[in-house]
This record gives sequence, C-alpha cells and structure tokens, in this order.
Amino acid sequence: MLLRTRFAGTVFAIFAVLAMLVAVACGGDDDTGDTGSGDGGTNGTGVTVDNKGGQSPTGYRAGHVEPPFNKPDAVLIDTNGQPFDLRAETDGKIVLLYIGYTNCPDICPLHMADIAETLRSLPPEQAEQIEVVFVTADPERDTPEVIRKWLDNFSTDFIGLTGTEEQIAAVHQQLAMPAPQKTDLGNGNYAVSHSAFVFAYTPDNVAHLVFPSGFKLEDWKHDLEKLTTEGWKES
Amino acid sequence: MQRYLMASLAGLALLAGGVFAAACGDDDDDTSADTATPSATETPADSTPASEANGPTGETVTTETGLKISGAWARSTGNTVGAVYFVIENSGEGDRLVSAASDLTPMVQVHEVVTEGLTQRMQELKDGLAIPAGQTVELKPGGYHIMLMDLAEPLAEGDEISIRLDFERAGVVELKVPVRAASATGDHNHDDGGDDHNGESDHNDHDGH
Repeated sequence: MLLRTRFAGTVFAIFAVLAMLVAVACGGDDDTGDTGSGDGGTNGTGVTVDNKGGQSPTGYRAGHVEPPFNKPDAVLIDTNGQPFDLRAETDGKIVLLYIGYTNCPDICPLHMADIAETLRSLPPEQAEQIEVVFVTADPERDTPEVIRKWLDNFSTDFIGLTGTEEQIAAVHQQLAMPAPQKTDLGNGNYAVSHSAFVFAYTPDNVAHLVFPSGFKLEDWKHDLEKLTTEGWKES
Repeated sequence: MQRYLMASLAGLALLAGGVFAAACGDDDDDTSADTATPSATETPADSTPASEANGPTGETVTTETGLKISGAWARSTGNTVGAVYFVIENSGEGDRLVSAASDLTPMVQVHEVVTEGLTQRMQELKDGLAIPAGQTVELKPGGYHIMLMDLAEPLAEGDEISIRLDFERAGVVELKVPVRAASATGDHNHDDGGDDHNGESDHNDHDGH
C-alpha cells in the first residue's frame, strides 16, 4: 500500500468513502446506477468519490466523482453586489468551485491558500484558464464586502458569491449536499457546514474531479497542469 | 478491479444505513464522526514536522508528565477568528487536553472537523481531546485545531500570541504561537527562505499585542 503515502490518512479515508447519500452508485465502470437529470453529469442521489489509490487510469490524483457533477445553475450576487450567473459568467473556463464561509478558521482558508499558491506556481497561460469561485454557506454574515476582504487574503482574482438563504440552499441541492447546517459555538458564534471538496469543472460545465482539504500542493499542481493542457479524458 | 473495492465497500457500509464516516479496507486511520479519541500517528522520528517548513513555529514545551508540545503556529484569517495548531507527543501516561484559553478572547475552543459525505463541519470537543499514552496527536489543518473567536482585532502575521492549554494530568501549559498569514498553505514544496509568498509587504504591520 505504498500508494497511500501520497495521502494523509484522514484524506485517504475521506476519499475512500463518501457516505450519507441515500444511495450509492458503486464504482463499477460506467455503471453509475443513477439516472439524474443532467446532461453529461448528474447531481443525483448516488455519488462516489474515489481517488483510485492515486493511480487512476485517467492520470489525475484528485478524487473522481461518479457520476460527475453539473455546474450549479444559479444567479447569485458577486462581491460588487451585482448579479452573477454562474454558468454564463464562467462558461469556457476551468472553474474551481468551493462552498465555505469566512468565519471558518481552518479548512476554508486552507483550500483558498492551497489553490492560490498552486495558481501562482503555474505558467500564466495555464493559470489564466482557471477561475476560482467561492460561494458562501453563511449568507447571514458573509456580505459581498466581507467576502471580498476575506478572499483578498488569497487572491484579488477569486470570485466570491453570496445570495439569499434559499439561493444558497438551492446551490447546495444541485451539488447533492444538504443546506448549510449551523452548529452553535456559544456567545453568538456558530460554525457552518461546508463542502468537503473543491469541485473542478471543465469548460463544458461538468466536474469529474474533486479536491479534498489537505491535498498536497504538488498534486494540486499536477492535476491543474494536466487539466489545462489535456482537459478531461475518460480512460 | 481492486480500485473499485473502496467504492464497493462504501456501498456495503451504506446498506447498513445511517450517517457515517468510515475508513476503507486496511486503513486504520479512521475519521470517526463521534469520538474525540484521536487516531494515532507514528511519531516521525527525526523528521521535521511538515509545519516547520512552512513558516515559524513556537518553542517546544515539555511537561514533567511526558508531554512534548511542538510546531505551534496560528492562522490569522484577517477577521475575528483564528486557528492554532501544534503537535503533542506523549511519552507518559494517557492525558487529555481539556480546554484552551487566551488573554485575547474568552472564546477559545478545542475543535474537530467532521466529514459527512460531501460536507464537512467543525464542532467543539466538549470532552476535550484524548492524548493516549505513547502516542502523538497532531492538531493540523483539516483535523483538530484550537479556534479563537470574538477577537477584538485580527491576529497579525508575524506576531506571537500566547495560549494556555489545560491538560487533565499535565496541568496548565503556556504556549507561544507565531502567527502566519491566512494564505499559509497546508504544505510547501518549495524551499524555505522567507514566507513572503503572500505578496504585499513583509511583516510590517505589527500592532503590538
């Protein structure tokens, strides 16, 4: 099990099993066992994420999500306070989509930091193909201004989006996630559930790959270089 | 074929029903949704903790009970919250990190991250964090952390803060914790030589905590 050394144990465990969904399409080749409604990808009830021991025939090191995810069809509010049509505005780009919140001290900034660092390490012609989109899971506290200030810790180019509670819940639903759950931390503080992965959409608005927190920078770089130069190919 | 084994295991486990986070096959490094018992990691003999390659870390503190606490650092997120990480090696009897405290805010908690399917969330370890005898427990990004809330002003990169850790056996331990920028990454693959990777000016805006 030499391959496991590529991943921290916890990350590996996250990869190994994605539970909680009502039905799982067990990974046999194209046997997704799910008929969702998408074109190309389905965000249905059965989802598996598996990094295939770090040796997927696709050559990617990230988690492979089956069936793949469609990009949420949503119009949200950007950090200028303007409507932002997620699909229309990011069409033709590789999009790294993450759902988090700015009062998140640990995983959310880790994801943003790792992505920012990776993009800085890529040749500009690769990096400029990639759009990073942060959607808040905490619209109550995360105003456009708050999100902008926080994202600027990582990159002024990152897109930040908020919306009504209903809009945010709808985005979650399209990603097969429950609406954000708050956990009371006392004294008016609360934690918010957020996505465990960064979803990587190819220009056709479909995500086949998801990146867990703690994914190594060298692996981030490997996969983003490959995605920008080769695109997604089924093996 | 075996690469699909894990997915199959997931399916089988799901048939058993319920919300869970399971580990696959022979991986003994479970993420458990409910327990505060940390998974043990092998002590990295002589190897530099990954955290040290990424920026300054606090001085190592040892206790008479056999705890060695090293590699401390904090992440500022430029707002009212922050996270503190460190590594505890326990060469003595089993202990427990019961709570943490800081002069900067009364709102300091020991947190774990729970993964449920596609989502993650953090929550307080109300019974503290077990530090089993002879084992090493890491507080690190994506795992356990000390969370600071309600900070009057953001932690400033380059500052050093002080936190107190209250252990069941070892008692209160004072820990100095250097603050890194929000953009501190999970690991670095480039050489060290200054952590000036977050653009702008270096370490200039200390406002003296």
